[in-house]
Amino acid sequence: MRSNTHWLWVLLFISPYLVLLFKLGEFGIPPLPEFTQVLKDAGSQAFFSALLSVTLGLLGALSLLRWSTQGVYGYLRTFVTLPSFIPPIFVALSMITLLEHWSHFPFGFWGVVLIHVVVNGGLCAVIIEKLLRSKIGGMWELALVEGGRKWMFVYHGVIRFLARDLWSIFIFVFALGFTGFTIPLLAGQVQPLSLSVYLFDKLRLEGDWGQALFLAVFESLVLFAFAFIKTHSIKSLERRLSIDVLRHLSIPVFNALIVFIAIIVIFGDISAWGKGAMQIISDTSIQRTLYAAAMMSLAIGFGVGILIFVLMSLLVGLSFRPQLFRFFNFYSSPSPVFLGFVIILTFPPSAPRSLLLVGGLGFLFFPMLFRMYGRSLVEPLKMQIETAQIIGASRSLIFKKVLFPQIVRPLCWLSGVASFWAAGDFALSRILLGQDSTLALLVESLMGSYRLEMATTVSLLMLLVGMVSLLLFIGIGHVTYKKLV
Amino acid sequence: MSLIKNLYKKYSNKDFQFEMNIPELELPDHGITALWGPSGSGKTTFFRMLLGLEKCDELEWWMDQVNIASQPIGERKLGVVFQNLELFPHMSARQNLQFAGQARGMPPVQIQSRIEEISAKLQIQNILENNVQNLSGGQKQRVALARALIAPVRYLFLDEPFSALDTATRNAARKLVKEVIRESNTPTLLITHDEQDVRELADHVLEMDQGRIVNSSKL
Repeated sequence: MRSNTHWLWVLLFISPYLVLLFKLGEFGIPPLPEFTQVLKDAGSQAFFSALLSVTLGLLGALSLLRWSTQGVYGYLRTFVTLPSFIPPIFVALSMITLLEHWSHFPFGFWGVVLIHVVVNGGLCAVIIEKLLRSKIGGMWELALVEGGRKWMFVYHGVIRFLARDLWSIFIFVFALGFTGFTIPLLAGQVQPLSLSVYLFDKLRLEGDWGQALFLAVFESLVLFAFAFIKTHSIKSLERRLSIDVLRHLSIPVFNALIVFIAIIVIFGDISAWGKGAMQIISDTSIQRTLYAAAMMSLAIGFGVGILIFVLMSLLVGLSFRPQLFRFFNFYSSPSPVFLGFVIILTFPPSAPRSLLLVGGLGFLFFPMLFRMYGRSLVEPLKMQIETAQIIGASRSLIFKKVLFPQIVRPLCWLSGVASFWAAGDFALSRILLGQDSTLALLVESLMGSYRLEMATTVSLLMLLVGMVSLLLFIGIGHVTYKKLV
Repeated sequence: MSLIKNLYKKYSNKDFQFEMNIPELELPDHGITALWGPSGSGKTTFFRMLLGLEKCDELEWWMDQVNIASQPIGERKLGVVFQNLELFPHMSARQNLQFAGQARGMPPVQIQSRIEEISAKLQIQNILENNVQNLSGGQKQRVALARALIAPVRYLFLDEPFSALDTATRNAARKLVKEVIRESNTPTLLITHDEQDVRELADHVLEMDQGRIVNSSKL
């Protein structure tokens, strides 16, 4: 379907950057020693986070080769990627409560690195494992026949051969660590350990908008630079090997490690759940706050899900052009702090913040979801659309009868995922909403007052609210599909 | 005859170069014309350009004093059966046909009577309510042809329509397609690299090689 509305999409998504262009005159430069210190700290934190995540990912990937691509493998793969799927505040809290229960959590540099590794390690493992399956199978088969040893092959055939891919993954995790917000804010100490936290401090603690503007632009440039460096296509070889052959390359001991990490993240300190629940039951004031925050989280999650559904339907169904894939592949979403900052600059203080939050979260999630799933939604239907056009069908008829019935289920699933993330959002909510407004913000304030057990129970409720929202969208998708087809 | 002018397309990258250049071509406006040639000769590009799916600003296609190429895709009144048929998989055979009738702006009553008529001709009455995903290759192909012919079209395009069928079904399908096309008196462009398709169906043959029509003959 041809239309020129794709330029409106481009304009919409670069608009936060355009807002800053109008404010160039207000720029202020942060004190150089302070700025370089932050760069050094954030850089070191991101470097260790990325290095350890990729290392854990590589070992995890080797262990995942033990499993066939179906059955247990599917569950295991989902399980180890859960820490990077669920809200980071939940992971951070699980780690903190658990380590505090045993001895103490190392707040500061190593605490942030530890949580980043736990969040990203499983995801790195799954990405690297896919690469191993598609790229190195033939070489390993040959090495096996010629009597090559496993660790020798891991060095020469895996690390050296996949160096460029591993570098791309390293840059991806480095960028997350360098510009991340939730984890460095919760697990760091006074000294900012990421650019976003530094920007946040400038805004909230010092109220220095000029310096915050400079940092927002700097952070965006850094993100663009990272996106540019890591753009490296991952090609798969046509020849795939039998799983049995790849099994010989697996290192089963690391199965236990990555599963253990996922269990820690998901279950945290189980004893805290009950204690937290009892504390909530006996505290009526927190119950009221909790109820209001749960409703707000649910509303925000549902609102973002609906927004993503509408945006995806409009883009995929009515104004899709292949150039948009290229745009979104290159496009780098602004950081939540930067976006929050732009929203505050653009809208009057009287504007309803919860609606702005819904819009902002939709803005953050949409490019990522479209980049990941947009092509798979549109490509299989391209020829059907062409056929319908030749038959003489109007754009609206094609959308209503051909496209929508076929994409409604995956669209609802994507919207559900966005609603799950939104219900547990901490970063943008922290900038736009008041204290305790959502479950994630309530978790933060409970952590701040060191009521970790109660925070753990609330964070569990936060996951539950996200799941309700996700399942609601999946259900809507199924019902709509049944009605249409 | 219909007249095609300025059909030009050039693709090039470091590994591959292709140029289609047909300054003028008379395309018969009756019977079945086979566009025949080896893989990579440009048949699909030719076909897609006439359908309006590939851009060519200078292209003219004159038929009954109308330049079809200047019209939007949906208004060209062309019928098409693609190689992989492109039936709408979430619909039944009847719904596929109804969609085409609706797209052509036919009134519902006329759509129903036309469905009955064409499904009888193509022997698909008993499968009309089935989801198209549950049909055999031959049945799907007949539904796709019925969809293309649900309303009168200026030209029918068939892109390797028998390539997915087994030998026995293919022979029967050829016979049926020929019969239906003759009966509906729809000029048809058949794209094929199968010589048997040409022998059994075509009235005219256009032979294509490296983006050019190298031979045009009447059978």
